[in-house]
Amino acid sequence: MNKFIEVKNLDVQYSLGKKNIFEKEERFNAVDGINLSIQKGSIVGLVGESGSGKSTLGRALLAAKEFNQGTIHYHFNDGMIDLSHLNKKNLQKFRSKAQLIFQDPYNSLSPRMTVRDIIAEPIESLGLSKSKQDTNERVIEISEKCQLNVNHLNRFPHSFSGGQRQRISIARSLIAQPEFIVADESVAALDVSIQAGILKLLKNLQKEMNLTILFISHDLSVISNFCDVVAVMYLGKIVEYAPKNKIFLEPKHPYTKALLNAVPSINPDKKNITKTLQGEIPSIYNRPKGCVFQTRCPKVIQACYKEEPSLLKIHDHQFACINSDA
Amino acid sequence: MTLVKIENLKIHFDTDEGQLLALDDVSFNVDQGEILGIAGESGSGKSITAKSLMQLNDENAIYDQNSRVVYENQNLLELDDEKMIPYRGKIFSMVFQEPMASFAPAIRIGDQMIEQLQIHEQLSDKVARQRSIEALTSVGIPNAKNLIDQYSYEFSGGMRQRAMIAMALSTNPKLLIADEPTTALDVTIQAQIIELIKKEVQDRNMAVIFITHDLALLAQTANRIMIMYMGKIVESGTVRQVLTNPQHPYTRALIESSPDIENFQKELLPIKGEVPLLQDRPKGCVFQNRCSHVIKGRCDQKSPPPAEREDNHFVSCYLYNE
Repeated sequence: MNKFIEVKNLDVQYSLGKKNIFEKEERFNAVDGINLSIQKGSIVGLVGESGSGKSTLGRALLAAKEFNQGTIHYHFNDGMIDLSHLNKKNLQKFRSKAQLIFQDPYNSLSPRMTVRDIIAEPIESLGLSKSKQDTNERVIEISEKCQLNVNHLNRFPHSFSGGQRQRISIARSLIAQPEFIVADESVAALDVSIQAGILKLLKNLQKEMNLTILFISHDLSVISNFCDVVAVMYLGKIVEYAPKNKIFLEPKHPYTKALLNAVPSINPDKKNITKTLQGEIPSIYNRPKGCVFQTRCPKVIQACYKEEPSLLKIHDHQFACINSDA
Repeated sequence: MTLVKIENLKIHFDTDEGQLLALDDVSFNVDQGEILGIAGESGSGKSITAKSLMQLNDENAIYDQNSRVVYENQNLLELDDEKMIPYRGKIFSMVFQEPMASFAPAIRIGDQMIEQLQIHEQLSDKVARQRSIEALTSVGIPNAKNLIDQYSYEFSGGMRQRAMIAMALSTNPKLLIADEPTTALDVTIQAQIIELIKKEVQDRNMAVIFITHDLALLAQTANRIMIMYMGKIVESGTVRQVLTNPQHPYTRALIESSPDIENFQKELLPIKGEVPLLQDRPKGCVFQNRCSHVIKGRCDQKSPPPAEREDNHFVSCYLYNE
């Protein structure tokens, strides 16, 4: 399999501002030293609690948030793009290759534009359309793929339901024929019967267009169903990264195990949720020294306070823990 | 023992588009010491049902004449605001979904808890404060003595929801209504809150109405479940009856569309179409436009009455109705 995205030692910082002009600006790493490689055509689930840095990582991958250290390389079909050396020209190209599907189908569509104009916007603003007719044809083609009624394209978003709006949002992301999509909590706002339809649509489009998807979600049930590979984030770090079966059947990191224990199953006979974790995720600018999970870990040992565990690799299973009973 | 009895609850909302039926003939009991789950998608009427117990629905809600909410032989729907006070925070208590929005941001958490206690009980400031500290401690808030003087924005989401539960429980209610109490929380925090609610139910022999869109959450918490769709109860029974032996086509479809972490190879089957708008409420069975078993000339005529399939397992569907 060929590597599609390669992320090395990525740091993304946010600023807390200066207290006064003589002091140094305070900063903290929302994404801290992440290494990640994503293969072409895979659906990667990125899971973690609020504040773990999953959205920040997604934004950095889309060049929507500058990163402070490390590199991100994309191997697109027609050449490589290095996000640390972006200029105007290859940024334009990159924008057509990598797109975002937002969480909230209500606030992410302009209420004053028709659905046709919303869907057409990426190819218009990136100058990818040859003519008005070309735009129109492509809007219709992608709308049909996303199972939208093409007779309703002149309507405004308010006359659509949540599920249909998310289809509009997907059509907009896909019209420029990207190779990479970040879906940030894209089904979280939908009812489950509608959510299933959107997931199915995304999966079909992914196969048809050979898309690579980074699927950010807090919902492990959805991730377990939809993704091929799963990355678990905690306090700005990836603590475990493996194919889905390994994550859900043989988790190694204590945090992953605790997360899985906390997810309820719809089958009342199958499982009892257990509260294995005390406390809450620490604030990110209070990141503990050593292992980031030490404050809540049931298996913490002395060494965890001293040294930050690096990502161990057993075949295709990576995890960052020195005391896992692997 | 039955604690509250809801009979023929029917509510219209008076809107610009006319009077829209939001709840249709909802009847059920809440027993002492049980967790009753109400599940359904957005717009199914689960929150409206819960709010009618405390008469907290918007002012344009019109209750049908035959609707009754009976607690200790008293029909609460006949009471005016003044007489409703004990049912809003003392006998019944509520935990809302959004812990950020349910505390006033400019008033210290402690002052809000004390205010609620003093409305319902004749307590001095000192005693009320002490009771509030005890309530916060009992839900696992460390150092409650100092934290009680903080504002809600200084609390994390999980802490805020704990404080909300502490406030709701401080008056020792007979019934706790929890409306999506964990939806805004991370799953590890959700597990903590669920354990807390279960423990309080056991310790106090209190009843809980647990409203959520998440069937899996009910599978792990509730004793009985009611499935609602467009203001009707379409199926009800024990957790096991409803989730492992679902009968109504909607319940089945809902389960088939839900991802399950214990069965992640499962193919998710979306339910075709969407919930109709209130003004487009179909005549007959409310689920007919999305149902794959619809019987022409039957389902589109009259709403199917509930039929008992097993002991206390009720289904409203003509498939089971001769």
